[in-house]
This record gives sequence, structure tokens and C-alpha cells, in this order.
Amino acid sequence: MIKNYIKIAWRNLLKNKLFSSINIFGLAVGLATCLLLILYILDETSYDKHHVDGDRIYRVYMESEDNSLATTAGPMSTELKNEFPEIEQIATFLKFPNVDKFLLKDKSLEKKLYETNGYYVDSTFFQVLSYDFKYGNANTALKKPNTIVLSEETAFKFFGDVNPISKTIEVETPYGSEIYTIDGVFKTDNKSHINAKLLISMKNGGIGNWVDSQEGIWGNNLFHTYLKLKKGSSELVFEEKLPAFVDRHIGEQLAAMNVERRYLLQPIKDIYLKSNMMWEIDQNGSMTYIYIFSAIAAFLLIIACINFMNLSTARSEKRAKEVGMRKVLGANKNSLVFQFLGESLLLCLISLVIAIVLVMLFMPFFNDITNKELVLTQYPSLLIFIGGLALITGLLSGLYPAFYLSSFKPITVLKGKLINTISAKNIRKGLVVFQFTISAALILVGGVIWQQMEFLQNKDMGFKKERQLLIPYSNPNAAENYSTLKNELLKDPNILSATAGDAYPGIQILSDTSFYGEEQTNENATWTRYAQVLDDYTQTLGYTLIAGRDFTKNNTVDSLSLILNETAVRKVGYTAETAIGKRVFYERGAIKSEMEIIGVVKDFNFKSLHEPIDAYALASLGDNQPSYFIATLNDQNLAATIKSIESVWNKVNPDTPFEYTFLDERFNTNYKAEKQTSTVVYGFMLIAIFIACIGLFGLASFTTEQRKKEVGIRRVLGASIFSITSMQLKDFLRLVMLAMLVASPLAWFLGNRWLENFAYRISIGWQLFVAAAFVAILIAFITVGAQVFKAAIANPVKSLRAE
Amino acid sequence: MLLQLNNIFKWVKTGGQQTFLLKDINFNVEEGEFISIMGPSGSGKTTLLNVIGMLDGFNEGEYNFMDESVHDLKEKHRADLYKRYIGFVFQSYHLLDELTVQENLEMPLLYKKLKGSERKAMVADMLDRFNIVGKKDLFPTQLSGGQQQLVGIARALISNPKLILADEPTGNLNSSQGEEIMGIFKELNEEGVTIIQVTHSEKNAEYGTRTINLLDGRMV
Repeated sequence: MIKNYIKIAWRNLLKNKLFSSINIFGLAVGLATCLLLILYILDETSYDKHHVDGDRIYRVYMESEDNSLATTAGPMSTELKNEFPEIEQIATFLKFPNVDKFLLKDKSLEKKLYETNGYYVDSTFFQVLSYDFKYGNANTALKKPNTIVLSEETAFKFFGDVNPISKTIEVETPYGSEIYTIDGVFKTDNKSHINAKLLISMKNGGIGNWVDSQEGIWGNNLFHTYLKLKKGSSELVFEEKLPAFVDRHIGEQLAAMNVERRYLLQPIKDIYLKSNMMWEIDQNGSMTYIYIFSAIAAFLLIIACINFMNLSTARSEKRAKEVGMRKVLGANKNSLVFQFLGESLLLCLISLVIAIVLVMLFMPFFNDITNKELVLTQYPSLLIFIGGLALITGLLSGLYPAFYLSSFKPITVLKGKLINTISAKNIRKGLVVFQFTISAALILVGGVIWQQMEFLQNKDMGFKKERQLLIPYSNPNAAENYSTLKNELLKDPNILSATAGDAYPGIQILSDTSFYGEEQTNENATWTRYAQVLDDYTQTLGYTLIAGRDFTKNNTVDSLSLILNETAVRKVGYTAETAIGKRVFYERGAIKSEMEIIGVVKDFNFKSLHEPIDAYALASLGDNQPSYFIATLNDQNLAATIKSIESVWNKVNPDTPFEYTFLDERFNTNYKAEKQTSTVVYGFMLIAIFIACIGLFGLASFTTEQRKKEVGIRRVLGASIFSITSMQLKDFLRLVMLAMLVASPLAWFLGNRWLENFAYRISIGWQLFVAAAFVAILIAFITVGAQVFKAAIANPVKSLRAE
Repeated sequence: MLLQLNNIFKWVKTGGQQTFLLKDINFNVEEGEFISIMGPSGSGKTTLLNVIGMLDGFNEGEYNFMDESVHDLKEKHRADLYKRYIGFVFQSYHLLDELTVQENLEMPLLYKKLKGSERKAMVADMLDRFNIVGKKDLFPTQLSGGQQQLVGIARALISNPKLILADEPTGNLNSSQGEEIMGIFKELNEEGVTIIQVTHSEKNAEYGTRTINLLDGRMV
């Protein structure tokens, strides 16, 4: 019997090749997308799950009136540990400002390379956070000064497969160079919001000195503090004690500045997905995206199932005769239900196999856009899950046709009459509208994202971002050989301008201070971020100097000079015209210092367009080390110019490797998340359209079949092919327009929600809706056109011939 | 006596009006009879046949089939009854296009849950009896109308029914094919199978032992 069913199922499959393949492929695409998304979601939710006693580990963060910081002040950890016995262990973590590249050199100076993601941690770090050590021992690592722990990859880059424990490595930053002893190598299988490649002991001769100087300074919030509570102590109770703690230590200071600060705890497991504060260690994930992706995954799967169900039913009705005959020949309802369920299960299994193949095919691409390293077999239980899902899909989508068909009265179906109730038709139409609504909404949202992304690329930022070469400039002699380098390079006519500084637009600027003008006091000082730069900085980056002058080549002249942007000038109480020569003041502790405004630049977006323009200043770097060398190139012979820069560079800075990026590329990394979202939304848009088309195709093939007789009669009575085609098309277009109508406000709302992430954004215009409607109609036309036309030109005699 | 119909009425309501499909039908069928039901289009022939075949119900009256009161039976019992004793032959054959001749013949046996070896033997018998062994692996669409109907009859016979109900079995066939089919019915009848056929053709009706004429749902 089962053999008979399989035979029938298989022959049916082959008989309607187009139909079967559309149905199977549609479900496969749905399953594959769902599988990919689930993989992504599982990966995103797997961060920081590996820490021993992870539910007792927290990060201390700070909340003030206008923002939240992921960081705390230097003395925080020591004082907390001293005063609260419920803390089992506490650790401090420092992402040092303005150092995003570490130059690593081995003893012989033969190997040197830049490494990012280097952080300073104290000796208790590994007692709070768990790291899986490949070499060395987490319990003893970083107990001694000038020690370092490397990630597996970094260690491999440097030492290959050799165990590097106790070997030394030189680490150079703009703040100096230090020799470190390697204390351990950790594995990177576990995901964490800290994506470290180097973990450096805070006790060291370089930055370590600065760290020591932070003792007792509560104003500088640069340290990430992680703590593990003792078993049984409550996080809430602990948090409640913190305001009193703050009062004890900095109450007076805060009162004097008239600010409020609250310190709170966040569970380490929540950081990656739920925390998005200032001074996060790295770009975190986003719970919103997890929700959105889950919703999309569920939607796509449901839609694919519904289509599958719909197509199966539509086709099963062609098989009504078989059902009738089987019943007359003795089949009972159960055996028919069993047969149809089996058939849909078979289809689902084929879909599942195709889905897995699709996932494997698209995995590299998906990994590329999501920046992940997902593997299908990463979660074996997922495969079982998706297999189960396919099974359930098969059952659910087989259930309706199974019961629907098996309940036919044989006598009616044998007569070839299958009267569809209006409600069944409406359900079908409703489903198609639903699918098109989602597709249309995705088309619209995709359109909004596309427009905004274009806007981000093309908006005048107030500085020149094209063809700006950025070269990391970590060199103890940088300050001295800067002029030589610059002069050598400017001899090349393809290099238009050159400068150096510790920052460039788009990078996270960590240097800040609060300035106040001559008419103001420290109470209303303006929090201003600043970059320290050398001569020609404003010119090279294309800032517009609207008053005053740039820094001179002579470092000493401008050591107390400032160039402010318009916003900063306004906030300290001057105007561009009056500012030149005026003084601004800042206070650190009890020391009051003053600086002179020598120039005003037009406001420019020194941060990404997510944020509005804020107060910004340029100060002279003086004899300090720059972090970046910046050169503006001509638009000709780019490759050759870079080659020639490299040779000059190697001559002047033989100890510093030549690496470069372009400013526009670097700036665009600020939009990494958006870029990802847009790719993902475009991808889903295509998939949703594809699936909706399958739905529409199913409906079309179903209704044209149903209306065959009607069309035949109309043709016999003299209707033209055109009038019949347009009559049927109109029905479908009405559905599509209805979908557009529902989708538009939805997309408008979602689009605007997304745009709220940007301080500078497009407004959603009506043109987008018209364009999307046009696209949706076009797609609908293409999908149903052929079928409708085919039905219209069919010989009416054939469709009217009675059974 | 094989079956007995007493005062059978069947009607449908269309727009509040009662339209009678069958009115006061009374007749008995003895085993071994070959009955032809005749009448113009719309006179209720097929309806009557379907009522006899228990594919369709009726509104009033009594129907006894082999001493069972069909009108009192539950759906499931009724189905069991017709599955066991009645074979159907249709004007448009109603073979399953996806199955070969052999598989079509086998199908009723599958639903009777017979063993594979038994099924094979019965199918082989039937193929033999109708001289269609050579066609066993062909699909219905590869056969002529007469051959398809032959398969249809073979399928109806395979489960050894007492009664064969044929609804215009030659309606879609040309005259020579039709004669061949009617010849087969005659032979079957002589072997003891009771046959009730619906037909338009006087000539076909002559194969039968008795004719029932219908007009507007009433026996005349």
C-alpha cells in the first residue's frame, strides 16, 4: 500500500514538473533562510555564556543625566573591593584612548606587525572572566608586571606553532615602547563582547605609569570594571548600596559640578546584545536585530508553509477524481488522509535536502555580510530542529488538503464538479495579500535604507574624505622625522597635502575637556572633544577655516593655541568674528589653565551621521607622538603614488611597517551595522518577493483553473483575449494594491524608526511609495501574466467539453 | 432477492422550491438479472443508479440490500456493504492516470488489505480473463477508449462483486467497441453476476433481461 502511495506521489511529482519544483523550491528557500537566520541568532546569543559563575559576573556602568558610560573611574575597583565584602573578585580593564593599533616586534626586530584589539587588564582579570588557555595558566597569568597574554591567532602570526611562553615581545604605542614577557595564549572559541587579541598587564613602564597616576582621580571615566559577586549576594541589594558609596567618595565633587552620577550593574551575559553605551569596548550586537531577524525567520517560514499548503491544495483539487475513485473502490477517509500527508511529507523531505544544500551554498556569502564564521554543523541540535520543522511543515501543510480532499463526496467529485466555497477563496486571497504586504513593506523599508545609505555616502560632511591616505604612525621618533617625511613626500606632485595627528574624522575621539569662555565659569563649561594635530591638518582634511589661521610648523608657538569649530565657539560665548584672540579656560582638579583661540573652522561631522555635530577643538600636538600620518592624493596613479610613499616611508621610518587605509573606508566602518542591516534587508526583500510570487503563482494557477469554464463561455460569447486577460489581471492587481495600502503605513513607521538612529537623515517621500507600488505591480504582472494569458487563449471548445 | 426499493423519494430544494429527482420508485432485483434503466436526459437514471450503489442517499422510502436495511445503516456500514458487493463501471472510465493498468486493477484489493501474493494472482487472473496481459504496464492514456473501459470493467470485477452498476458504459465508445463491451456484460451476466446499467440506447437495453423506464423521476 505504501509502495502504491509513494508511486502515485512520485508520478504526480514528475507529471507536474513546474508545479512541483516551484512548490518544493519555495519551501526550500523558506527553510534555508530560516536555518541561516536561526544560526545567526544562535551565534549572536552565544556571547559571554562560557564564563564560570557567569550569572554572578557584572560590569559596573555609569549613568548621568544625558548619557550612560560603559566605563568608570580609575579608583573604582580598588575602593569597591575594599568596602564591599560581597565582591568575590573585581577586575579593571582599559581600552586606552587613541590607541587602536599596537605595533608588535620580536626581539630580533625581524618580525613586526600591527595588531588591533589590545587592552590593558589588571592581575585579577582572569579570576573574574574565564579564558580558555592554550598555553600558560589563567590563574597565574599577568601577576607580574610587564607581562602579556596573546590570542591564539596573534601568537600564531608571531611564533607559529611554537609555545611562546616566557618569550618576549616588544609592544609599541604612540606613548612609547615596552618589552613584555608572554604569560599565556588563550583560545578564541568562546565568544565575548571583549574581542581581545592582546591582554596586557596594567603594571608596565609605559601606559602603566599613567594608570598609576589615575589613583584617586574620580573624574576620568576610562576604566571598564568587571566584578564577580559572592554566591548568594544579590545584585539588587548591592546596587542599592552604590549611591551611598558614590556620595562618600565624590559626593562633594559632583555637587560642585552640579551633576548626578549613578553607578549600576549589568550582567555580563547581557552586555553583547543589550548594551549600547558610550565607550563600549567594541561594536556590540543588538537585541532589536535579534527580534527583527526572529520575526523575519518566523514570517518567511510561515509564508513558505502557507504557500506550500496552498499549492498542494490547489493541485490536489485536480486530483479530486482520484479521491472519488479511490473512495468508490473502497478507500476510507483515514487511508486518504494518510496518503496525502505522506505525499506532503515526501515533498518536505526533498525541500529539506535542497534547503540544506542552499544553506551550504550561501553560507560563505552570508558569513561575509554578517561578519561571522557560521558553520552548518555548529549546532547539531539545530539540524534535528530544522528536520523536525520540515516534518511539522509537511504535516501541517498536508493536513488541510488531506482532510479537505478526503471529505469529498465521491459522487460530486466524480462528476468533476468542485464547488469552492467563497470563504476558501477569500482565505487564499487573504494569504496572498498578507504575503505581498510583507514583500511590499520590505521593498519600502529597503528603499528607505537605500536612500539613507546613499545620503550617508553623498552628504557634504564638511571635510574631504576621498583619497585621504591614513598611515598608522607608531614610532618613537615620529615627532622628529615628521617634517623630513612630509617634505620628502610633498616633492611628489601626486601628493597634494600631508599632515599628522592623533585622530581623524569618524574615529572615536577619546580626548576631551571642558572649556569655558571669558564671560563664563566652570559651571557652564562646554564639554569639548579635541584632536591634537600638526601643521596643515585643517587644509589636508579640507576643513573650512572661516576665521583665523592654522597651526604653524613651529611646534612651540602654538602649544597653547586652539582651533574651535563653530558649535564650540558659540557654546563658549563667542562668534566666529569675535573669537580670534579670545581665551578659553579649563580646570583639572584645582589647576586652571587657559588657551587662545587662533582659528574657527566651519562645523563638520567629526563623528558619523548618527550624531549631531558637537563642540570640537583642534590643539597642537607639540612634541607628542602622532598616531596617524594623513596624506591627500591626486586622483591619478593611485597605485604608483602609494608605492612611492611606501619607499619614502621605509627610508625615513625603517622601524615602522607601512600600512594604510583610506579615510572614506575607515569612516564607513561607522556604518558597518547599517551596511549589514541593509544587505540583510535587501536579501530578505528578494526572498520575500520570491516567496510571495510563489504564493501569487499558486493563486493564479488555481483561479485560472477554476475559471476555465467561465473563460470558455465568455470567449464563445465573443469576449476578446485582451478583455479576458485584463479582467483576470485586474483581480490580481486589486490584491496587490490592497497589500501596498496595508504595507505603506507599516513601512513608513518602521522606516522612520530606523532613521531615528541618525541625526542626519532623509525624509521619506511619496515617490518611494509610488515606485514601490510600481515594482510590486510589475512583479505581479510577470508572475501571473503568462498563466492568465494562456488561459485566455486556450481553445474554448476544449474547456467547455463536458466530461 | 438481491435488493428491493420501496417508495423511494429523493428531492432537492432550489430557491425554496422542491424539485423531485426520484418519485415513488418501487422495484425488486433478483440475483442474476440484467436490468437496463432508460429514459431521457434528466429523468433521474444516474441518480437512481447512485442510490442503488449507495453513493447517494435518498429522502424517503426503504431500500433493502441483501436483507440489510440500507436506509437504517450508518455511513460506514453502508460503505462496507457496497465495497463488498458492488462494482462500478463509469461512462468516462475513471481510471487513475498515474497508475498502470496492472496497478489500477490492484487498487481495490489494496483497500481490502489483501496480501501481495493474493493480489498478484487476482490481477493476473483478471488480465488473463480480459486478454490484456500485454497491456498491463501501459498507462490509461496509452489505451483506446474501448480498452480503457475493459480495464474499468476488470477493475469493477476484481473484488468479485454480486452486482455491477454501469452508468452508460458505452457512452464514450464507438459502436464496435460498444458492442464488445456489451458482449462482455452479457457473458458476465451468464456467469451469474447481476448487472444494472443505465443506457440511452435501445440496442444496448436489449442485452438486458428487463428494462425500467424513467420519466421525470418516475417509473413509467
